[in-house]
Amino acid sequence: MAKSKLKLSGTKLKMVAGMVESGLVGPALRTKVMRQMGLDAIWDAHLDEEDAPALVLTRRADSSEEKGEEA
Amino acid sequence: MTGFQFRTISELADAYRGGRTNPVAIAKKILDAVAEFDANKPPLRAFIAQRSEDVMEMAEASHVRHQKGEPLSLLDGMPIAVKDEIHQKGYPTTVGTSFLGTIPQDQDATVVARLRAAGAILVGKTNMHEVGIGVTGINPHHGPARNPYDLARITGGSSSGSAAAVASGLCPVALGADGGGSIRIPSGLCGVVGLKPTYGRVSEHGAFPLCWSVAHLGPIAGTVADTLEVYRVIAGKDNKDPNTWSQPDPVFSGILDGSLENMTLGVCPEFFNQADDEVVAACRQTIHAMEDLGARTKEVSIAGLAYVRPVQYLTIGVEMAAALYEYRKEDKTRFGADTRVLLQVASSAPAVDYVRAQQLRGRIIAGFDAALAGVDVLVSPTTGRTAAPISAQAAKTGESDEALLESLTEFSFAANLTGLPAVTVPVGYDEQGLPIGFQITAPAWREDLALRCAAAVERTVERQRPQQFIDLLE
Repeated sequence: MAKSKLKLSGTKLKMVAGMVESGLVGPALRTKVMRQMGLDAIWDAHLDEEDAPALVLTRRADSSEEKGEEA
Repeated sequence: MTGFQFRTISELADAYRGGRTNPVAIAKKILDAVAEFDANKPPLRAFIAQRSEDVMEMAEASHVRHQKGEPLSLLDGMPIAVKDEIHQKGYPTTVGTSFLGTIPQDQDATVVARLRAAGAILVGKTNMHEVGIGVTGINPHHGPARNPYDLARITGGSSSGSAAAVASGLCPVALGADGGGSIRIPSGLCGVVGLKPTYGRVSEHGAFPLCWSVAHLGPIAGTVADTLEVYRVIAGKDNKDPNTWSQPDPVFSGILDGSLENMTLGVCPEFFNQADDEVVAACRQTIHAMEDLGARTKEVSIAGLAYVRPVQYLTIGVEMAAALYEYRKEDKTRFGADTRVLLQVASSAPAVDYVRAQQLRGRIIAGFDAALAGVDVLVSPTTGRTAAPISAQAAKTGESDEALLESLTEFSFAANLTGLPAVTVPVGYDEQGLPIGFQITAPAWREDLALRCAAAVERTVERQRPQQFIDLLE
């Protein structure tokens, strides 16, 4: 079920936070996270150029309709 | 429903009407209990802030109304807690940080204003995972909220204090916020009921803006009936939140009938079985109990499940990074270390990835809508496991635990990405006595279907009394 096993607390977690923010391991960590999530593979396999971004904001609630009244 | 039961709004209302107790006595009892629970080792830490004078003022006003026989509503005199991500007049909104909320709010969020207008006693602001970015409830600034069923364990999060407050009996209902499972996960781990309504059903006005496209407010309660009572008050259009304007009227009738005749439950094995054996077994047993009440079960497949997690990570992560951009620009180190890591990683995601995630999100929405087309609701566990232990070090510094994060959020993300309503209801306990939650997801705007199923399930479950508990009517 769980693919990644990173578990940190205490001094190690603080140290990693500082390193990530300083840029020392930021790009590498991002690459690791992206690879673990398999984003490139997902984009390649599933995304069609005709897919429009889903805008839940307009899909579930059409704000062009008449403005509601406060209950 | 047999055995232990959480005290309910209607029981309190009966006690007020019959003169057995009154809102002032209840408010005092709660303030004393919170102090006692927080003085224990380890402390419960359900609340971040309580203004005693403010609480007693509301209680006294309610007491007067009850003495006159003129309560404002069923919620008059009912103690309700508010997650510290939601503005409440007179309190700062810290969002679980050490530095936000230096000034008390001068306005209520819409949901809080509606509860106040109904006569509720707003008993304080509850603890939460810092900025809602995690789901354990381990907060290095305010201390972790602890699970009333085992104080050595997490509540889940991010609405950790709200779930702890309800499960420990301090109030029948609390408000939570859910961007990736933050109402359902702590409710599930703490053995209470939690409702994430449809996106746009409940006004977000006055909630700290963290993750606009996946954020929802909703109730956490000891029972489905109490969940419904508060949902009834907070749901509906609000001229301060355009996302609420075009919703159909919510349905409140027939929910507590207990019948599941003609109800078809959708089970997606690929989705359902992604949990520990004990959790899966308890949830399977629940399905059988629902079938005994008249429901039918149908196996379904859900297209797009494989990319729910990366799409949710990108969506909520990038939106939170954007929401907190100015605060991070000033000083990143004011956040807890786990928050710092996650916000930095999210900040480094290219804009193209965020847009592509939204493109795939459309497919996830279509996949869930298609699965729901042939059934009334989808059912699954709420979390992949029960409450995890809190290490002494994590309690002080926070923790980053990817495996735990994945297990706790296995079933929750989809309802945030799709905007669909989902409720969790307790269905049993593992060998260690830790609660197991069952999630029911309904079509958009059909909270009534999810709550109707939850109410029926609730009657089949023997609840257990939490270790840390106060009976407000004892």
